[in-house]
Amino acid sequence: MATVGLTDVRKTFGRTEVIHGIDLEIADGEFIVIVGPSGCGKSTLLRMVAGLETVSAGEVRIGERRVNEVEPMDRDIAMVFQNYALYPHMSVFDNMAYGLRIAGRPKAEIAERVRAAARMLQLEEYLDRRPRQLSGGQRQRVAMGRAIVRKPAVFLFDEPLSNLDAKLRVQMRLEIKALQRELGVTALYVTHDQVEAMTLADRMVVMNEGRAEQVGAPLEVYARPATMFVAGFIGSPPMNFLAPADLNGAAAPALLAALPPGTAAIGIRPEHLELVPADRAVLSGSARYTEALGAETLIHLARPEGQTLTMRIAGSPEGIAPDAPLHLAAAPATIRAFDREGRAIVPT
Amino acid sequence: MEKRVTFRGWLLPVLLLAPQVAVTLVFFFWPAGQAVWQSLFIPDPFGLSAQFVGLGNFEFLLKDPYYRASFVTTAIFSSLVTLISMVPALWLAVLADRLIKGSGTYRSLLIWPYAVAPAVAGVLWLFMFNTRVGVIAWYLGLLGYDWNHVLNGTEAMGLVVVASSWGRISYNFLFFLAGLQAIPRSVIEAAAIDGARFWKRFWTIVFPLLSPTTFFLLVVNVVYAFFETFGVIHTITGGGPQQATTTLVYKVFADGFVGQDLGSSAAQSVILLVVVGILTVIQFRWIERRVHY
Repeated sequence: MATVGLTDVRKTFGRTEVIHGIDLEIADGEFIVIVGPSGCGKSTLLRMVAGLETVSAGEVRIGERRVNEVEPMDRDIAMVFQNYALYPHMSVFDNMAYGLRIAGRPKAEIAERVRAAARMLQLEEYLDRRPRQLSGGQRQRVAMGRAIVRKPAVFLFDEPLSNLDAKLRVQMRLEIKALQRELGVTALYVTHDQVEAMTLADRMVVMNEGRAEQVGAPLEVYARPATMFVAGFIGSPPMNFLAPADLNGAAAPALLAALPPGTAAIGIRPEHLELVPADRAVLSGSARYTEALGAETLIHLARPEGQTLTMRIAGSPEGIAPDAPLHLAAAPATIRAFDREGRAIVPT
Repeated sequence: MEKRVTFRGWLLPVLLLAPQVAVTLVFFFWPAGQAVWQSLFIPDPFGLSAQFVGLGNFEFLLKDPYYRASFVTTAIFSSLVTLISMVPALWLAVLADRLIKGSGTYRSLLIWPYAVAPAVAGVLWLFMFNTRVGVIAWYLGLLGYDWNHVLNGTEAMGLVVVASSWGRISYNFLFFLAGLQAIPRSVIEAAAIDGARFWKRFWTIVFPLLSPTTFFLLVVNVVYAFFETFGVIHTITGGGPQQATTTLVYKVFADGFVGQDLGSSAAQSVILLVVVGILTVIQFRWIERRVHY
């Protein structure tokens, strides 16, 4: 219920600049995921929006209001922390009611709002418990409940699922998405997990070393990564990178001719590689080992030049003999070209 | 699987336990037993014989107005020492916890007073407040206040309380600071986002989460005020004036070793033992229930 705007936001610790100018306009009700490896500055950026870190330069706006100098409590935000940050000495009810009590809401209204949130999160029977008597998933829900009851304009999530086991993570991911849709609240979500980023985001921000490498819808980012970093970070298993000179199959010259000028590296997603007869191949290699996952199979290939490639094919095909030479090709439209700085070359 | 280590024979465990048991027996049970035994006798002035008097020593003590006054003195003294050594320590720890630059220096400086032995601390305060040469006493004189803790019981009490608490503030500060730093930052941040300002956060989040530390320090400081302040009292007031600063422990010493009334002194030790026992039970049973671990 508010837009969020970042204009050339920077953060310096002492003399080291860790965030080098981020620009981002978030629409009302949009779900934005900031994704990146450890130490890329994504949590710092979120904490600047929350008001837990000072903004060294640039401007942070929430609902068209500059909030650089505004205290966290006056920014109309709620935050869910990685370790949940529940108040261990209070019951679940008191945890959720804390903010409302401080705001001086009438008792009846507090009880009403806490119960409504508890109902939404299936926490009704745990309202009298202490956080330590709850499971990880329940604690996570309480942290969400604490954020919901205050009806903030913006939700901030700092890796909220990384302390949960894999199964619960998938479940909570869906719940978070559903909740955000239902409440229509603008959300800013930080994670290092690209699957979370892909599934939750309306738009995602891929960060690396304090810079936003790419901002876009998940599938857009996946299909047209702006840099080699993004291409390698989003997608699992990651994109295969090769030098144009590595293409040495029978059909390679035709493909090389079609590459835009200045191509220093090409990227091919594992699912875009296909097995073809030798005369149509652009690449060859031998299967080192295969990982059959049921619905799909990952084949790890070794190339004579020493690189390894990963290819993903549907089902679990029989008859791929270890170390047998395999001939590969990819549709030209699926091949991404990058220049020497690692930036994508957009075909004109 | 059995998690505890179990011994096959009995010799090794007995050997391992022996030093602790021996120390406890020799330095606690034996003297405590002696005290209980001696409290039933009145020895003659030369210590050559003793007359059995049953509970006569206790009966006499409980009727003795000086002894009863000493109870009140001890209660006032211990409460004040505990309060004055804990409240400023917590205050300083909260401030030091907020500090980012120069926190190391600040902490080291705050810890120094703890290194001063109680008797030396007593002498330091005595010099400052000495009625003839004390700096502070002199300034108080300039302000028109005639400081004389040698004659004024209230002033004497104030002086021993301050001298006993001073070094203790450092000790408590250390524990409070460690306790504060053990509270997860994100919990405080969550409270800040929830709208709680500094003091609201302190009373609703920080102080309750600090309660295990506070409880521990409460127990330790009461014990300190009872037993370890002897040196301070002895150097500053010697229990005076008119027994205004004679705590129960000081009276054990004064009656037993100065007054040579060993029977009464032993009886006082026994009473002290019981009082401390009751205090400990109260602290653990009653206060600990309110502590959030």
